[in-house]
Amino acid sequence: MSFNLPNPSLIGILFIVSTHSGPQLIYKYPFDLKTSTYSNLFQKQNNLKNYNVKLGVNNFNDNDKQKIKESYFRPIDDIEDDELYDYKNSDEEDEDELNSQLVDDCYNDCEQFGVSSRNWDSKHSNYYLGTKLDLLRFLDEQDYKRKEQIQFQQQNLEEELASKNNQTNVYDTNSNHARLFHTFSKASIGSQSTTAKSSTSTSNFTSSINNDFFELEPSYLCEMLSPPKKMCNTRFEVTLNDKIFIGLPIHKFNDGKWRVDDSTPPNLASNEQESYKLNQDNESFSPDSNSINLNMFHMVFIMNPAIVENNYRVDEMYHHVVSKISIALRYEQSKHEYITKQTENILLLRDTIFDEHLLTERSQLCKLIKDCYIMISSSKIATLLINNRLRTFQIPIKTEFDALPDASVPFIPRSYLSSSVNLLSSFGLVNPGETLRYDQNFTKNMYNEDDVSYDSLIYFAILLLDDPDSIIKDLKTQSNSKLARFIKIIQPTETLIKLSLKNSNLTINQIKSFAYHLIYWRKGRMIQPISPRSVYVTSPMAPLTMKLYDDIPKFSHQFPTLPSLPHFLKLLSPQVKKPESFARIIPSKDHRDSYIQALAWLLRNGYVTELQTFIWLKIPRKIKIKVEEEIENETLSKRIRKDSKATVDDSKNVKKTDNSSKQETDNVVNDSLKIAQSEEKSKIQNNLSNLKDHIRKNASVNLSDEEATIILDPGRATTLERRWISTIIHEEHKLSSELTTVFYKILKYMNGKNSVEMLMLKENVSRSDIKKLFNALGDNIILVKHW
Amino acid sequence: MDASDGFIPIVAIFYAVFHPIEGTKIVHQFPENSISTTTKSEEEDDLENEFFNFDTVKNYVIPKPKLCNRLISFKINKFKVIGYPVNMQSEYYSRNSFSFNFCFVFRYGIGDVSPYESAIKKMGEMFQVLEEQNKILSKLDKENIFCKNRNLRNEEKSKKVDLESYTTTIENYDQEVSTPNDASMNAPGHSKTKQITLSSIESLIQQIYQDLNNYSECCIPLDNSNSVDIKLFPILPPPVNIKAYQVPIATVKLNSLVDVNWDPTMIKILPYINGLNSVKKISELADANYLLTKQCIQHLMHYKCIEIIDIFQFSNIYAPTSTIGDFLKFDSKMAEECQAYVVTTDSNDYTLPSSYSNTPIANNSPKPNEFSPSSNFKKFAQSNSISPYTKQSFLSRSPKEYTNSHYLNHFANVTVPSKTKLFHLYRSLNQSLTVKEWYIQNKDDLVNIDIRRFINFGILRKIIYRVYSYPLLNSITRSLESGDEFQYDKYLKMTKHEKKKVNDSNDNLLKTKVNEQTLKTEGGRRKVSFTNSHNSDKVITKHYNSNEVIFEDESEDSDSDESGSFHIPLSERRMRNSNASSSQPRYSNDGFMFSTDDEENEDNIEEEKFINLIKLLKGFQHFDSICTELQISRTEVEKMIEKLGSFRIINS
Repeated sequence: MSFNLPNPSLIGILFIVSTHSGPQLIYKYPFDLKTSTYSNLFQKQNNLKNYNVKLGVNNFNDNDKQKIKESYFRPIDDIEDDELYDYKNSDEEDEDELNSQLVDDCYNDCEQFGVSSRNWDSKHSNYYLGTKLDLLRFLDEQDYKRKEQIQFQQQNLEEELASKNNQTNVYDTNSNHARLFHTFSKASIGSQSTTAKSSTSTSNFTSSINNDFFELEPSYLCEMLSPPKKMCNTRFEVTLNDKIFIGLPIHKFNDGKWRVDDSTPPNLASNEQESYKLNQDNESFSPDSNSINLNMFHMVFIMNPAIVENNYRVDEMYHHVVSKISIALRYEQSKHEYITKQTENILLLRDTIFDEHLLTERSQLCKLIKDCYIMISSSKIATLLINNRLRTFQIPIKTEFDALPDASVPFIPRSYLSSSVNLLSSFGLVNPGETLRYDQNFTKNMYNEDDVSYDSLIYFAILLLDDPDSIIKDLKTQSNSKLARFIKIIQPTETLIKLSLKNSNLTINQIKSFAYHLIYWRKGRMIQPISPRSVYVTSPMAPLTMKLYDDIPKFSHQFPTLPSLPHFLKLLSPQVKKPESFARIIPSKDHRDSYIQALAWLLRNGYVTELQTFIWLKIPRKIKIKVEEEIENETLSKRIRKDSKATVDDSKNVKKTDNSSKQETDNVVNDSLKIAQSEEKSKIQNNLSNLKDHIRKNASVNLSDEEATIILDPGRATTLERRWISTIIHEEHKLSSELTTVFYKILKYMNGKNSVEMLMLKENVSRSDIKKLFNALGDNIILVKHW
Repeated sequence: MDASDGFIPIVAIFYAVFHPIEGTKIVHQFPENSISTTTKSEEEDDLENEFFNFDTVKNYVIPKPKLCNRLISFKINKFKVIGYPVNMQSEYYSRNSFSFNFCFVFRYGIGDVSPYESAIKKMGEMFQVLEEQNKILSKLDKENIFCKNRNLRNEEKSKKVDLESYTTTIENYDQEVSTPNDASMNAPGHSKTKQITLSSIESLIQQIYQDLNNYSECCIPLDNSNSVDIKLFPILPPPVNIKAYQVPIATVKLNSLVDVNWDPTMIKILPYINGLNSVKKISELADANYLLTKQCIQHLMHYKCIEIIDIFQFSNIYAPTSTIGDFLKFDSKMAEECQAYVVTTDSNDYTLPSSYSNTPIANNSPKPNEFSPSSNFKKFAQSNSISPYTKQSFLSRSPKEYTNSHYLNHFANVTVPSKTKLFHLYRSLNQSLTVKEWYIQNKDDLVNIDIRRFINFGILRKIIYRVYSYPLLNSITRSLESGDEFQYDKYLKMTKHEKKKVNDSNDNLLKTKVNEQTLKTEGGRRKVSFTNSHNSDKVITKHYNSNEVIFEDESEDSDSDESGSFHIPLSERRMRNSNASSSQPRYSNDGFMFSTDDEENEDNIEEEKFINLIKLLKGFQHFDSICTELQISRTEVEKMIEKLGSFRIINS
């Protein structure tokens, strides 16, 4: 539906090795990639899981899980099964009736009006963008679903209570859970879905590694997926109909090594080293006679993305997961023969164990493949144990935007909108969402400013997306570790640099790396530090229609003493002349902390965004005229000077200077085309000559003179612009020397790209100085407020 | 060769077969020698001119028979190869099977190859059929190596299916090919015909290569009934689902696109797409079904004939986005385009008052989808309903064209506003300023500027955004906070009862019935939920909820079969029925009709509006959406909400 929504489209992972006896499928997960219809089912299941994406904002307990499933909207192109959405709960007959009425109703409409796939109107989502029918009906369904939900929760609660009373009842509860999931996945694959979900329940039907999948014998596929050496050690991609097999096959080099060892210096010593290594290799191969002679291994990811998303999804998977895992495996293989050992192990186990589930439990490699599939296909972070070393892989989700997406572009609710995202993305910290649907240019790097300084990161603050304790728990760090202590001191009001100053035991580099860590784990978000003096407004991306229903109770639960969420939001959307600083809505000093907390909550949940100020410098017409006159005078006086020195080539010189003054202006005109708007007139001559022609013909139409010019990039001002600037501050506004210093300090930020809030932190300029300066410059400083 | 129409170019095409003796080999390729076919030692890495070594990939070009007959693509070096390997089993062939593949080579990772995929598949399937019927490909080999028994070919001839019958799947060979089939095939020396066919397959791939790269399509006749016809189409994402309150604005002259084959609904709705009417409004004006209208508009949007804006009202709020700086950028030319687009014909005495008077300043809340068009406004709107500016349409329209357009000539003393001024106007919009207030603040600067165009331009170029207002009923908030949603329903019921009592003290029995019926839907649900969750409490709950629930319970059962009664299963049905005017006769036979009594009918509608309003409020919809759905103005909506209790407005 859009690149903003996570959709890994992963339908399975295969692990293939090639030995002297040819290619062999070692493991596959899920076990039953049996028929092509299965892939569909899995796909659906994936879709469901996708919306379980943990944004870090919510720590859901089990009961809530369904809610998440419902609340993340489903992709529109989701396949044909939604009508199965009814609860198979025996004692809910009335409800079923009602539901089926709804369904019938819609069906009739669908048929009548040619709305072919009902799946488009997402029965479960709270998202109107998904519905093909009219709004009221959608709301009815939504309402209905919510009520169902509440029932289910209550029912669950009861059952859980019951099971607590009666320990023997555990199995029932389990099955109930299974049923729950079952109904939600709406797919009649019962055992299948539960296996994927919880490893506790085992599937009934025996799965074997030798089963066909996608109606193909594994051996054929195997052959295809163990490419000749020339296609190895590079991206591998084969498409069979709609299924894409992507991987990075790792083939042994001719010298028997798995990696090109860059570290070995090309000198005599390297020879020794190499021979030593060769010996080592030989040793490792020789002792065990059973040892397989591994030539190649290949972890293949099977995907079936929608056609329009094809390239993007495959690239995403390859860059973030496939290549990284393969390289990690290669490392372990080259250092520790990891793959060889694991493969041998699996082959041995297969002799005795016929149950794939059991096998998976016994083998580390199998386990990691399974975990990888489960986590990646549900857009979560996969933490995999590779040779007893934890490594993490994930496809980053897009929850941050620097520009407002089009009305037609779906995004994950609670996404965050701020122009600082642009800067952060240039650090590789965040993955900004696309603003146009399937934007062609989207995949290209958006931020190509060369003056990105990595250091500006320290002027941001971290907003934790969860409460510190649960983050510490999730990160599995010791509660007295440095990271844990850091997490506890994080305040959204304080920049990283401030944090490091306050806590002498943490260096700024440590803090930076912790910040990266938290963001990577989707536990934190970089924001401009919260300040009561900043201006906050409700974000245009606020999930009002989608999330308010859930969030009103949550908010009141978290802040019982504060006004309700709607009231709070109303305070942030004043009906007066313009948005005001947050301090204005804090009733008293005592409320300050709780209001800031609430604000942090709102930021975290995407309701609010900071309104930042961006500035440009305007040069009024009279300054331009003045400067022009000055230049003329100067050249005149120059000429006079020259004239006085004039010799034989007198006339020539005069001509030259004459021209040069003109040329200079002209050059400036052309040079600054990109940078400044200074030459409006000439621009109009060039670009709007048509209009001018017309105007000449119709004398009545006037292009109002471009009385003023806005300088776009004062940091790289032309000579002429610099003259204007100095004229404006010295002669027009007669700035005091302090203000002049301030002015020159912030001059380079007057390009509409850097917010005043940020530059105050960066350049350590006080708010009052800025205010004074702006007052002094009056109309000639242009302030624009946006996020 | 250049990519045309944004399709990535084909870098090579080759035709490969499985040779009974030599194995998989390339028979023809174009351009020649693109793909190296010589076997090289592993180390000797090729290739200046050659893309890759065929030996490496031959198992992907002609895979195992079981993997054949499907679209297969693979990556090799920096290239992506797409083919449709065909494997045919027949006793006729020397190894009982014959395999071939037409492969297309593209550069990897520079673009989307999916437009080619269906064409390649089709081509493979076509040749499969032709081979099956005419052995068109296997015959091409000079030694006839593919044929198990060369004499069989005579028999085969008799088996041949008439090509003429085979029009759907395109293709077969030129006449020269069919000639040998018919006659000269029996002749012992068919070297001549073979030669021709051989060269023809070579020229075929050459022509495909050239035509597709140059024109994105090809039409190569093979004989009088068959040809290779390929046209590439870009693959667009599925249409976006638009909402009732969104306003389509044309980017092209829609009328010029119409032809006789157009969908009748589409033709019906076209006149109403003017940048003013919302989707819902269009469907009403055109007397077309809403869902169909919506689909039509979605299709127009899919083909980029329209863009979506919001309903323009003077009570709207707009604010700058983070891309407002683009307005100043020199290369974007946005400022010039804006100047040309927003400049209006004249000064205060015409435009401003007119546009102003149309958007009711007096009551501050114009109907969202209904501009009561005063005569002035009509004029105004007419000039506006020409194509608006969009990226696509602008390119085709120079400013000159625009300024030359009829109306500029009529007016004197038009001053085109400067870019600085326009920028200043855009930046002075903010999150808590209505257009009306903004206009008052900047009246002097807005001379010669058409405000609606000014706003639309900003919206379409994404330098400003619409700030929507969401009314939130306090009672809803409270009920959510207390975690008791059902309490809310009850609350609403009470309000309605009270209101009823106040408003219609002289009410009759029927109305009460209506009221109860109203409750029925929600009450029914509530009952269900309670039944399921607290079985033990069931009785109590019912009592607690007053006897209405029980009453409804009974009535619900009768819903399905009882017709002509007052029982309407779902309130939305009623709503739709009342709204849908005559276009939905289905519902009138459906077992629920309104009483013939007009007065009561009105009440009914009124009542429904309230129910729908509550639904909309509970769905946290904004004013535009509510107004569009209920088809009343914002003032009226606000009045209605007030009746339900206090509310807050959030601007987001």
